[in-house]
Amino acid sequence: MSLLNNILYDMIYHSAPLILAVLGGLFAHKANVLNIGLEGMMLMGAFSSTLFVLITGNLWLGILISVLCTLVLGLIFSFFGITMKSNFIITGFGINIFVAALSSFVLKYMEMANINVSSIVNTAGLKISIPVIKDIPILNSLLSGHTAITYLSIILIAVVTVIMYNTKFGVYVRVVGENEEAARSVGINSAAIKYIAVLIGAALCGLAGANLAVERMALFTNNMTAGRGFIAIAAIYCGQAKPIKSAMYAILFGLAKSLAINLALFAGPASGLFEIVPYLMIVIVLFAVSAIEKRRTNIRGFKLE
Amino acid sequence: MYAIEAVNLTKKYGDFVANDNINLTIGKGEITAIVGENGAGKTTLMNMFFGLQRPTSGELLVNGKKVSFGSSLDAINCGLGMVHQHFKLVPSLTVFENILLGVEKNKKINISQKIKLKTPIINKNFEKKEVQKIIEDYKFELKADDIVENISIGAKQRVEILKMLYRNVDILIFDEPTAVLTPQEVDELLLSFKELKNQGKTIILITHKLREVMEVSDKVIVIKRGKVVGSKATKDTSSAEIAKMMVGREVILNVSKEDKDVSGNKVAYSVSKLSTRDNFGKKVIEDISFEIKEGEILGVAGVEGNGQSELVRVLSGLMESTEGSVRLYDKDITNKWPSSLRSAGIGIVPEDRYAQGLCKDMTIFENIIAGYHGNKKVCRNGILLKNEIENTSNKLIEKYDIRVAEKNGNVSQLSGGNAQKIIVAREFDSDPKVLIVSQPTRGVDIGSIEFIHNKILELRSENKAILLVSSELSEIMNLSDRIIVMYKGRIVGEVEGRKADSTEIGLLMAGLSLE
Repeated sequence: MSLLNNILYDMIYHSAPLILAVLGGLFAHKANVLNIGLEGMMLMGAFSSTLFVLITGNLWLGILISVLCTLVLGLIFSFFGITMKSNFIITGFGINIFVAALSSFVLKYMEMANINVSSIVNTAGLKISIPVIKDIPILNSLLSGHTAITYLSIILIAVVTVIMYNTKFGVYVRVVGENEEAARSVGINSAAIKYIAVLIGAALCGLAGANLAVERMALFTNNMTAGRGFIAIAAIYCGQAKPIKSAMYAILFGLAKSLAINLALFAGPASGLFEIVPYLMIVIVLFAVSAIEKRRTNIRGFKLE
Repeated sequence: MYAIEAVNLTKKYGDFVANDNINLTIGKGEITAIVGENGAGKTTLMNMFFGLQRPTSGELLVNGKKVSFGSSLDAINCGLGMVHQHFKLVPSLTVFENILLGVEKNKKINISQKIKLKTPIINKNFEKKEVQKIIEDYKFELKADDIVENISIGAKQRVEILKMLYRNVDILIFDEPTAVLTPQEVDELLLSFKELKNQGKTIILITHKLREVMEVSDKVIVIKRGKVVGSKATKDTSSAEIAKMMVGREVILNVSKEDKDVSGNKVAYSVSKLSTRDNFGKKVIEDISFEIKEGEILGVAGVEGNGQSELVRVLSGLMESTEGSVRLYDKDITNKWPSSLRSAGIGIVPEDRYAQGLCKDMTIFENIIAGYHGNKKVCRNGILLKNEIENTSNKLIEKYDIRVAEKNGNVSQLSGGNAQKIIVAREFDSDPKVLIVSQPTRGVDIGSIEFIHNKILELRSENKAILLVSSELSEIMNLSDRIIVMYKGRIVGEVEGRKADSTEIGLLMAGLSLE
């Protein structure tokens, strides 16, 4: 029973940053902006949050500044990708490399192997138990004892759904992505909508990074996002950028990670192999989703409009 | 006072003068038709009216006031609306969401009598009711909560019109509005024009279909090479006179063909029980069977989006069929790739000339051999013979009267009609046994239409089998020996070309049986 509890708890634990990145990233995806910079933005969130917690000595101030840092990164991406109309892949890739390089440079400069803020942040104290639910078996591991940003990520699934389908902004994002001409012809500023879509993604990636580094471990190590930004892109793609469906894929990847960690305990010397489970799973899921789409495609070679 | 008055309006692109000192007036509450060949400058003129382009010089007056539009939004605020040829609609949204795009109504919460809190949530119910009301006001056939991708082209056009009317526009510009409609839908649209006119709206109709001009307009303005060459009250003129003004010479509007008995000829091309599905798994063509004999033209009529495009894609090797077979004489050519189809003797004039027929950014020479690279005449041991290609190309340019400014230039410099003639020259001159011709004259000017039609008939007299797919009913009726009509991916009827009558075909196109 406790194994099941651990698996479920870890599933949510590992899903939270993915859900945030997915929810943020799908705005840009819907607005027809391919943001592969999610990884870099998340890493920026992780790095800057720990760094500024260390500098300011205050957890929430550190997280706030880290969100501002990723917003700047989002602005850089938008400026080059949207205003200057450069290639999104190259711009996004540039963001990813830049952040990885910046963080290792700063670590080198500060002569540290990693940034440890456990003297400032007590991670155990950040876990919030929810009354009543904490006494219900199974549900308690799913919905109790998590951190604030984790709860936020789950609440945001509903919020993003409402924004996407019931507000002007959501409608405009979809219109810009689907038919930019239509948007322009009624006076919608499509560039502004794209900027905001990217910036929402950046902010949520910042939170995801903060959750990953400060809130969970009070620690930043080099490249600690380990491809989560790309997993998020895969989840958005598989879930067709629908908030609930994409979040479900994010949770699926969280489950894979949690299984890998919990089952590795029993694997003895082979435990290292389980590390590959989540990544292998992405390949399989992407393959399955593409195969299903391919089966429906009768058009040869290229897509006709 | 006029609704719109243009005074010496000029638009230049570099050295090229698209509109040259245009002076014209459009009367209030009238329907004015603006006609002209492709590239005559109609679109540029309308883009200036609608604020999409700024004039180089000259003045524009709307309702007597001088205006200068920075964007289409300024034009809309001034009471000018435009219904574009390519709809600016969002397919996944509903009719009312599309109409209210940009002017959404939010939910309000009444805290007290005076204080109302505006929420960011869109009030969909209220929007739906409001749109349904204006649909009824203008007696349009539409349902406010249908998803736009599921409604017919005619209905989509009505959505576009309502989108403008909702914004309190009283001058409406229609850019080639009937290009995509069935004959019945055209009639309905023309009726709507009259209804709108009765409600006091001013209508500008850009078109090159003279029947519509004669039927609804009060005044015709003819534009040629960027200049106004004629302006007359419709009742004082005739189709023939307008056509002459447009082209600058006499035009035979209906090519004549002699009747021919083909019953003894061999079957050149046969399709049996062909079906396929699209990307979403939806059956787009189902159980299509027909035969074409040598020297026969088989016309495929139908409203666009009823499977004709997919049929041509399957037959030209761009899409795979799920069932059925295609035969060229007694050879099975089902699901062959385009290059093997061409070498087997099938000429293909695709529907979208720039997406499937030409490479815009390559030279005319390269385009004129595209698809026939393996041909021994132009290629030896895998090396292209440049001189040969140039010779062939120059010969074809002359033979097909393709007007090019720069022979070594790219295809992108050519007007639509001349670009289409490159494809026609390439495919017709490769001595095919069977020709698949899709929308051969879409967006092509009257002079070139006449030329292409004559070429098609020439091939017919050379005993080629021809499949002609077109959404232009008059084209199908003029050229075909037999006509099949497609509706929702199926063949719903067949008529003799000679006996065909447009109401009958129109009914079939709308999915109604003849009984």
